[in-house]
Amino acid sequence: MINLVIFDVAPINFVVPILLFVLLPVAAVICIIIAIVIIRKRNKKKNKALTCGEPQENKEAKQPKKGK
Amino acid sequence: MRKELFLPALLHFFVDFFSVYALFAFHLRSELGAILILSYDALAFLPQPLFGALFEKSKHMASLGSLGCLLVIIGALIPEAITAIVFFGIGNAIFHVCEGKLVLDKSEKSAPLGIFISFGSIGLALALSFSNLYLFLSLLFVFIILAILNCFVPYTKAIPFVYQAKEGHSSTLVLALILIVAGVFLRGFFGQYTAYTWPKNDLSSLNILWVGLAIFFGKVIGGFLLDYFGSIPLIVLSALLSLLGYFFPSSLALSLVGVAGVNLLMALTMEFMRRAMPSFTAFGFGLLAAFLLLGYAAGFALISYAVFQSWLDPILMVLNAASLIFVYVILKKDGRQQTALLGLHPKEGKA
Repeated sequence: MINLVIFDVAPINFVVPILLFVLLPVAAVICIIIAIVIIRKRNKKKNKALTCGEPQENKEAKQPKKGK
Repeated sequence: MRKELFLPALLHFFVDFFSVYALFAFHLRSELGAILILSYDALAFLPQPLFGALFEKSKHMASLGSLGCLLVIIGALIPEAITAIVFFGIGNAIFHVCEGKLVLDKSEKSAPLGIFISFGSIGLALALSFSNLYLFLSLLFVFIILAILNCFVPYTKAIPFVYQAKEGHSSTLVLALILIVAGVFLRGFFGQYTAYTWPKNDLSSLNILWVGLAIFFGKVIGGFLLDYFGSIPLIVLSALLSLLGYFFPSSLALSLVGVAGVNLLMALTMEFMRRAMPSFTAFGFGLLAAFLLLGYAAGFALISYAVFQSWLDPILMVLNAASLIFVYVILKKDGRQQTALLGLHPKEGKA
């Protein structure tokens, strides 16, 4: 991270405060929300695959073995 | 520590060095410079949770880390500031998340975590202190070689960090995670807010290099201290040392000890995070990075646009230590605390 104190930022300029107070937190919130949505979707998919796979496994286990 | 885990640390040095060196070659000044640097920081830090979530389950983490390096290399060769910043930012974010996850998942101890994060500060400090075309080109050559090598290093041989959640327990401890993130935010905040009276904004002086070295030293030693003495002694030591910067702001030497003290906690934070959220280390790493920037930006905003409140500094430092101690308690309750080599009860609570 580059330290901003090396720049002589005058408080009269409004672009830097807007970046600091509005854009930065909003961008962070958006990124984190999208990341959480991705993780939750992946978990849902994984859980679905697990629950769908279970009966089939049981079915296979219950099937009598052929050829013996 | 296994030798292959030094490669991500070396790459971290190069990624930070080239991003900053090439950015400052554009001779950024005043407001425009601040806006561009802030944009770079935002691109490099804020998308990290997003990239973390996207790449979490990837089996090609090292190759993705090298892709991040490639973007930084391309950025270093682009002669136009805004395009270069986009490449640096995205490259940085991908590199940090992927290599960070690699180190978090492949290192059993905490020392490699400290080593990995420490090399970036040296790269940054060197980039701000020196300017030499031959240095730039020779380091670029080494960087390219190491980035290619990174794709072929067998990281699978390293001893992995494995944590299995107890039956019926969620693998993610949300409260612990919130407290860790709050601690990181506070650290970013007071790191910026401490009113040193020696000239830290003077690029022509060697102070910036000294600060970089202090950060490097704090991060490296923090991982080793954590392995040997455990979490609580490290948190107390860091809190005591970081107060030095507040009480002796005019002394460069004591302030540097304070800076190192603040940075002692970096490895601990990563260690806590991987224990609180072992299934999503890439996302967790990104979350820490994003909140470090937010805390840093908040500290900078307050120092620039509000009346300076010096009493706030020690309070925030103590709050940071308290939040981490509370995280330790939560992790211990769940049997996830780290076992120190020189701890009082070495056999207790092995994860």
